[in-house]
Amino acid sequence: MCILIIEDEVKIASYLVKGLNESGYEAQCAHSGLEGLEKLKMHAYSLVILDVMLPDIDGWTVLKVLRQFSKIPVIFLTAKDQVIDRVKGLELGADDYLAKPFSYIELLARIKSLLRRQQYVQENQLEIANLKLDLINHKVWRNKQLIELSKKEFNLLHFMLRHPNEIITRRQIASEVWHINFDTDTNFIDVAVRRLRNKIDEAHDIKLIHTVRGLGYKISAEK
Amino acid sequence: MFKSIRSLELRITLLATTCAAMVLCAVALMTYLGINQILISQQDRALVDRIERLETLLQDSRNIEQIIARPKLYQNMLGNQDNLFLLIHGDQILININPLGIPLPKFTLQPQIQFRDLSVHAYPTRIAWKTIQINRQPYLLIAGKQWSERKDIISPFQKHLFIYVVTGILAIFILCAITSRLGLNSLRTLREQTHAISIHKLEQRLNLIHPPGEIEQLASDINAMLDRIEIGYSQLNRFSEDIAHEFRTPLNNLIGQTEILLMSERSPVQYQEVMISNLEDYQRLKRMIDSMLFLARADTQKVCLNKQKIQLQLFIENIFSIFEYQAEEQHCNFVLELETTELVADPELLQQALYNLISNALIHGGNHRTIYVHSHRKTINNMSMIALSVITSGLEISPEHLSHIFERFYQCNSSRHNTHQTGGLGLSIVASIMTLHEGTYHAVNRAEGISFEVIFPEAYIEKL
Repeated sequence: MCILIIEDEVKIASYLVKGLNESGYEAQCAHSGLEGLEKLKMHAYSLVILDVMLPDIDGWTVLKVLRQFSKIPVIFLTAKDQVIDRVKGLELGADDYLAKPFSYIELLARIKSLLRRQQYVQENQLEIANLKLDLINHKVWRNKQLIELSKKEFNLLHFMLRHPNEIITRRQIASEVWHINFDTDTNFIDVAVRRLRNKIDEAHDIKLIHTVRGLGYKISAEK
Repeated sequence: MFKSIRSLELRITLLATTCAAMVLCAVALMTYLGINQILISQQDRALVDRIERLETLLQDSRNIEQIIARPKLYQNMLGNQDNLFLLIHGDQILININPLGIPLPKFTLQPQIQFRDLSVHAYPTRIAWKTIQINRQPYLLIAGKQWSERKDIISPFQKHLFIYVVTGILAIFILCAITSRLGLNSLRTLREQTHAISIHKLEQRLNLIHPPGEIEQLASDINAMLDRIEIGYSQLNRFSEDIAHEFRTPLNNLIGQTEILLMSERSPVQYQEVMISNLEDYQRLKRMIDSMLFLARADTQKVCLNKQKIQLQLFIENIFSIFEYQAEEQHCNFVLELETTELVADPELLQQALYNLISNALIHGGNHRTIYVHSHRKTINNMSMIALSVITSGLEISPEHLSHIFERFYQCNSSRHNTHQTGGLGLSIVASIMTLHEGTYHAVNRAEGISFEVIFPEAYIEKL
């Protein structure tokens, strides 16, 4: 899977390449719109990260031209997070949108969700190690023992289980579980995770919910 | 030249002078015409008198014979060089006094006195004539008077009149100039005082001594505008200062910690510690920038509202669920009382406003409080509004803070130490959100506790 980054800021482009490589993706970058289009015509990429502000032709134009010959998923980046920009980008055929300054973890999450969108199947039961979550009956078992969870705790666990072994940021949790899309002080998420952890991990040797310091949380059977 | 014509003083002077000049000229013209008319009618009466006198004289047949016999006598009697007098019977001119030899036109027989001006001649003359019957014979009587007689009176009068009018206009011009200069004096003072006000002297106000009503009004309007500018400017100033300060704190951490870290070799764990701490500060900076950007955009009305009908019950319960654990730890509880269940607003912004208000209630209220969220309809200025209040039981804010509490970075305790993440912008964001919704906001102390009220216009529902 190869991702193309069209971004004129060399620093951003190079850390994105580095990050994506570490996350298991192959990544290339182009520093202008024309160069980007050229590369898109020559190679088959799986996804494009497109900056709106480019030195030669702007991101909107790149997107318009690109859509004439390809349906490749596009995430566009902009310094302005105005609704008009967002709407414009999505109307032109972009698949997702991030406003600068953005969190790399969030970008990664969006890339993952776009790349697996096609094969994503809703499962009725999610599992990790000996933890089971039943979506139909709204029940959770750990080691065959039923665990009582509040509605929000259940939603939180469900969200984590949909992204096993991935780092999840507090912002993502706020948006997914509480539908809060503005930046908040995120203490309440730490409290909620602590409670959930008490309920599912405390009595067990193998801990499933891990804190990734500075970044967020991860659900994983491995340490 | 154009600039001087645009001067109000000159314009008023010219306008007033022109008006006065027109009136003066009209009066002078009418006086002239009136006098002229009086002189003409006087002249006519003299001619009529003369004809009538001769007519009575001639009625006696003896007299007429004498006249015919001795016309010279009559000529001498009338004497005057300039006068004209003729008595004609058929083709015979019985009396012919016409020293200037004025040519006469043909006359028809007229029993009434007729008048006529003979002006083509070198000596313009006004004549009167009448046909009289003596012994059943028609006699034509013609009398004439030179215009020069009238002219001698009217032309010096005309000359004087002209001088009076010109002097009058000149006097009016000078008086107008002086009056308008005096009248507009306060305007000049106003200009000088306004000019002296600069950004460093914003506290200065216009102060005129006995100004005219209109200028007093203007000055007080300008003063009111200066009040608003001064308040806005000082808020803006304080805001920039506060921003700088708020930025300085995380930047201080970043610079200091990183410098210390780099001073000697560290273990990976230590590097990691500092990176994590740095990341927290970066996020804090980002949050502040986002908030400021939001406020700046809201100020210039650049935020698009995504208005939707919101079911308040579910909506507010979801916000309560965010604070569920925190409230539990502080032994606080939430009470929701909805008199109206629907509201049209931008859901994300409403969520943010309520989030900020409830978060404040928990942070500043401390333990063992009840936080009420109450919705009700109210009428303000004949407009139906929907009010949402967040009330924290048993908490009070002193009145001197209440009027400032929605200001940016305003903090009730003056120490700037700010452990909370809102960074002193929480309530000003609420204020901006309400302004965007064309609503209002205020904080009041009630019997139950401090109440923060946000009020949305209900008309939104109809607009949707």
